[in-house]
Amino acid sequence: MTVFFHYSLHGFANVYLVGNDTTKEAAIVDPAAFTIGLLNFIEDKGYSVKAVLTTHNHPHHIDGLRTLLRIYDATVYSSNATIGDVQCCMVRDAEVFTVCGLEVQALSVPGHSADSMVYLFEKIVFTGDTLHAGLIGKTMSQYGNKLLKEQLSRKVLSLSDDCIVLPAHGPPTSIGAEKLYNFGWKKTKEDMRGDQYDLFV
Amino acid sequence: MYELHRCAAPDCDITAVHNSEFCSDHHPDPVGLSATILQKFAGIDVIKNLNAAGLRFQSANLSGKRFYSCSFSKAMLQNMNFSACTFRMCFFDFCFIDSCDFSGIDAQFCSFAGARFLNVSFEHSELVHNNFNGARTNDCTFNYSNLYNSRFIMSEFEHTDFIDCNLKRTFILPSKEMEVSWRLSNTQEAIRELDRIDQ
Repeated sequence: MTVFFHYSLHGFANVYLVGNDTTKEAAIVDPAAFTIGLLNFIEDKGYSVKAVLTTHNHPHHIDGLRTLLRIYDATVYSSNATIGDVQCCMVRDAEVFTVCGLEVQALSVPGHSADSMVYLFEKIVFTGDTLHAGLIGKTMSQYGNKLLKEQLSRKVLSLSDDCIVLPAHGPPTSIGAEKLYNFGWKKTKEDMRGDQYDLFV
Repeated sequence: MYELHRCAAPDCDITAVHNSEFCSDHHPDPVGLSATILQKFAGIDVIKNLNAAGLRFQSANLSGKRFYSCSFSKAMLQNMNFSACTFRMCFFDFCFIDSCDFSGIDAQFCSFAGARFLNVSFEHSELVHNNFNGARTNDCTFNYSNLYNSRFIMSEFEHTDFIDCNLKRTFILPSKEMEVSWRLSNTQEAIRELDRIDQ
């Protein structure tokens, strides 16, 4: 398995290509904007896109979907039945399925959005907007924040410390690093500010 | 991607190192393996998919080499010369890095989270989209570097300089700053307050 990273200026989002080195088939995780740069990137690597995994349906992560599907005959996996007018193969929490010959597990982690999915390939977890390096996803309410933390704690932080975290924004990280250096586990914004200001004194 | 198969030792969940069934803790000869890897580096410029997590490397000149998808997590790097190297999707999490030269490197989408840096130079480097969260630096320099979209959350800086750096979209939320210079850097474009986080 090979993972490539592409930075999309549309929403400053990360797009990932997960390739099966044997079959030269690939899955795209979160096709932000489908630009000529991304197309060249895929073609240069010599892959044929057979699957798209969407972590959630916020526009700057799925806007490239329709264009991608005009070029590649790919199955779209999502926790939604449809994204816009695109029919999806619905995946449920803890469901294990195969894409491009690679085994993947879907984990439902609501909070940032109700449809947020995390995808686990071996020891690589694509967390979408649920977990970024040093931060957890933005939520619209205290309930959402609490739910997100509880779901992350139960389903994502329980993975081994050397598991690689590839988020939809920002740099890569690992489960071990996120357990120790993530502001999301602080109780309130005041706690975080307090820590900062105390230490600047 | 570097190999992600688990160590063959019972109850060990860590990934096995390069050309081995075991992780660095359970490998019968980690020192020999480090030497073998360094010998292998000597003849090649592009190093791909190498898992050297937890190994110890010292006093080697790897200047100008290109590393793609390699792991040096929890490794110990001493007196190493990585100047002008290229790194893509490489992991240096929880590394101990002492007296190493990373000047003039081009590192993108790499993680140095939780690493300990002592007397390390990153001067004149492209450090775009990298994770330095929880990193602790002493007597280090990032001067004249591009830190676009990198993160320094809960990091600790002591006697560390960031002179004339590009800090656009750089998250700088350290938990400790002592004798740090941000002179000539565009700190106003960095994200230094949580209210500016909009993802």
